[in-house]
Amino acid sequence: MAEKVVAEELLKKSIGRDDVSFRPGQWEAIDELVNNRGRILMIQRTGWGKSLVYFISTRFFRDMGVGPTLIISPLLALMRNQIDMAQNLGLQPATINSSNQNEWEQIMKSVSEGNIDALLISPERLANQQFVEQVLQPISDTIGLLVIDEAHCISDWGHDFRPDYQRIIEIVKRLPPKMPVLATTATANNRVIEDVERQLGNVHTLRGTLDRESLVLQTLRLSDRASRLAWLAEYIPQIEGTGVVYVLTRRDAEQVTEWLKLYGIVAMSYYSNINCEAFPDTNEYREHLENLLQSNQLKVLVATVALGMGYDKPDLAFVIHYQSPGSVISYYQQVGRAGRALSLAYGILMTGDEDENIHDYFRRSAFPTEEQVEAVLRVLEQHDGLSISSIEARINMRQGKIKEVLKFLDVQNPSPVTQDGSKWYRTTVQFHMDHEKIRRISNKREEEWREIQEYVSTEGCLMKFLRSSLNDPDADECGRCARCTQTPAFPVEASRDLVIEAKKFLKNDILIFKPKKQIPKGALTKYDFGYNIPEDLRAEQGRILSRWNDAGWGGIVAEDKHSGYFRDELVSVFEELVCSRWPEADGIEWITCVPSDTHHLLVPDFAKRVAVALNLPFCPIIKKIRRNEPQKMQENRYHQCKNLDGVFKITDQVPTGPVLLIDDIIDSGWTMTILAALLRHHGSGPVFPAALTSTSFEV
Amino acid sequence: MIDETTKAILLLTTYFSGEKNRPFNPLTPIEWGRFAEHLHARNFSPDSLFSHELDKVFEGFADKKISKERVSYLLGRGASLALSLEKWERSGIWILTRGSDEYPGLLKKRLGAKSPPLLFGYGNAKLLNTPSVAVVGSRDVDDNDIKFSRSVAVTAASQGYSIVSGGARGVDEAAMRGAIEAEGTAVGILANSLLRASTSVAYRRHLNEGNLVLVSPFNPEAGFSVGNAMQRNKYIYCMSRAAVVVHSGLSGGTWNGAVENLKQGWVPLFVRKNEDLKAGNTKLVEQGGRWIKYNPSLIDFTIFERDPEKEINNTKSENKSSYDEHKGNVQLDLFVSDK
Repeated sequence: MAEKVVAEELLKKSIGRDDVSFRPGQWEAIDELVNNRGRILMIQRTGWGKSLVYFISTRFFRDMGVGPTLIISPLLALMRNQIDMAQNLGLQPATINSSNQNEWEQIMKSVSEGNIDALLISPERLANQQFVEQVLQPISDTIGLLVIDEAHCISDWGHDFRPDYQRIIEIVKRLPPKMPVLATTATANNRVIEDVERQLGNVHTLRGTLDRESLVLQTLRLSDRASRLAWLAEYIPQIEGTGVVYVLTRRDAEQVTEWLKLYGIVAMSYYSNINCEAFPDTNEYREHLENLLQSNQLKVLVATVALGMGYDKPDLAFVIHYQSPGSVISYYQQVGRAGRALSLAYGILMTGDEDENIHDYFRRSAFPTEEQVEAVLRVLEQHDGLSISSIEARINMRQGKIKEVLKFLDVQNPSPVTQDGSKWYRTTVQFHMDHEKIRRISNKREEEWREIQEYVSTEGCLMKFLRSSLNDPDADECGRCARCTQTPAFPVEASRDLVIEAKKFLKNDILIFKPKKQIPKGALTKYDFGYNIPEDLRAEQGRILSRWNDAGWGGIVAEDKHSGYFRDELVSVFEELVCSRWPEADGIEWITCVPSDTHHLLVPDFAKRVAVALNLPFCPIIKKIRRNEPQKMQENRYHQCKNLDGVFKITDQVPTGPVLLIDDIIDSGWTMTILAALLRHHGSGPVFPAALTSTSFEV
Repeated sequence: MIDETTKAILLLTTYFSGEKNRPFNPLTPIEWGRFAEHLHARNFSPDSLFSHELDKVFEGFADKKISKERVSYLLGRGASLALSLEKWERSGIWILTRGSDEYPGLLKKRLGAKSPPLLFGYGNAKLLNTPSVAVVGSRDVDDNDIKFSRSVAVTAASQGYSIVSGGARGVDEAAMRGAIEAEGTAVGILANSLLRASTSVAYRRHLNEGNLVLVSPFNPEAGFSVGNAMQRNKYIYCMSRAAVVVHSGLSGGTWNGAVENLKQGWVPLFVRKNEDLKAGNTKLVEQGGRWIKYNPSLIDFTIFERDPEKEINNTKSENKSSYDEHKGNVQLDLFVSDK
């Protein structure tokens, strides 16, 4: 039995102070979990003390001889203050994630010996079959309390729907009665709450106020990226303290970071799978970045939504959105991080023209199409288990998409697929695509997008708008925001000069092309380059001027491709690129290009003019000897490669010096890779690929 | 969705994957039988174990093997249960308890409290209560044995019987396929890897078309173990009306299963004529089995419909005497069709 008096002692112990008492709801939650073994949904803002509830409950459970607590959270690791809290209560926590794999065995042993009191794992781990079988299952016999952080992700009502959370729900549904569950989140509206309540079943909801007293809100509509970049460079230095700039895509994260650095602002990028050579894996690097911000060694962290869940820095002075998130809940989730322990903090939302397209893309690619699903199921039906690369070789679908389809299918219960080791199998379960559900989610997302756009242009109090949208019954005027005070905290526009500089910056932001090193098994039969392309046949790193239709040169390239002639301006840019911004390509001695049978003059004509500008010979010695499908229609590396098998031939003497290999578009990069190998094979020097634009996939 | 009673039985009797040093093992079918009887006598349904104090439940129950600590531990494995159950149900599995309508009646009748507490399965559960003929034998057999197995199956199918077997390669597979391909039905009682079997190209279509059911009393992801295989062999006999051994060794699974059936007197045992000294067929006949000397297509399985007593009165003494009469040499005309 847990008693309030004892719990209060534990509270004091955990914080290390005598003058504290429970906030309304904290004891009630502990009571329900420990004494009733019930289920709680706790909706409280960051910093309220949700971890206190589960750590104190864990202490009670452990004293009663119950097994360890399992915490499912997207946090990479427990935060410092959480670790302190646990230690003060005499609890030994442990984290299992992809970056401490070498410690797993030791941790598992500790758990089975009864020495671990709380185990933190991420939701992705639960959806990873191998992990569940080999690591989690062996130690799950005695788990007592289950904690689910960021529980709003369970709701599929648009917003943050994550397939991994679907798995969590399916697991929770199958728990026997009297297994305590604590679901927590800092943000939810009524619809989400109802949905989560329904899915968890039999749950008490405890809900607190969402007000953020120190937050000063403002919104800015600035159509183009250049204006927003300029704004950031001008006004961030004027804000005291450290903060976060949220962006929608990785490319934007890199671009904004580069730009801010130019103006002496100490900034770094943060997104999922971000890598750095000094760190063995992405999680460790991300933790490092979080620590840098935490200890104020950074002024700004430029992040995608990957920074988020659970991250808590009490003195975050600003949260600026460079692009608008998709919903009010997302926005509130992100901006609500600012100013927890400050008297003043800024929440500024900028939105531009590209936001609409980006969110439209996200909505459209959220679910696989029925054709894609049928294609994967069809091929699995005919075999007794296939690995992903075997599937890739049998259907023309991008590896990433195949994985997406499988994941989409795998989180359903029952599911038409199952996995064993690295192979996927078709089960006896019949499958019907739930179009209605997909449409509903899509529509909901569009609704949410319209709502956040309304927020940008609303004439009333901004804070009130957000809180009302989240169904906070106490929502009222904040008296601090740009609308309430009629004087926005920051000017709407930055200086003209800065905007011009930003425009130049965007135009000069070129991409680096990394050629392939391995040929997919069996894809090439006419060319023989082996499996690992030997170094002396590999292309050098290349350069790409823009992304198709982007804010730099991409728009112009798209126009000119359409009209059939690449303007001289592009020739000059290329010339300048090679001469002053590409030191490795300094010694090129000749120029060639990729042939095409459909637009056979477009690229050679451009390449010839580039050669003239650089005063180098132009030798169009690559010929296409076979017709093939358009390369852009090949969806995965196996097919992209196979589609080029035996298609090209070198028709003349190959000069022995380094060469610039020009094409208009680089998509998968296989054309460049294979042509470089052919050229080298025939005696050329190092091959430097260069293209006007990229249509490759990454967002 | 699996109900609370099934969850309770799962917790008490099933191995979930992985745990190495468990302080207590799940209850065996026999142990569960004892405990279930006590619960029944005290009017506790299995799911009420979740809401009642265990002390109350254990009043008047002093079983050396089944302690309160053991039951408490097993019931506390909630997270483990949820993880395993989620995966199994995701693959399309269903679970039967002894109280389920589709649970094979013959198993309950013949094994009573020793019948398996749970059956995991895929496919058409109704087949579990249709009259069936068991066909069993070794994995490594020659073409003739394969043909024989198939022939027995086809004959049984044409007379309206299902084939029940173990799903192993060799005789089992040949008989089950034979039945299905002849538009009959088959029941496979697997000792291991039930989940995997449900995904195989060979079985999947039939599972969905209703002419095949695959079940296992063990964890659907369990690997092969000799003990489980032996246990499963019992169930094959008990679910059938008659059993045909196509080929047996002098030891091993087929041999042990057949010998036990003869000892317990569950069903009449028929053995393919094979006097090879390395085969156990002859010895089985010496112990009470009967030869099938004829072409299997001449067998009349419906003999049991004509004489239902033959099937139900399988007390040891009864059957022993009837076996004694026909030991070895005397050809049994019981199985020759009148037609």
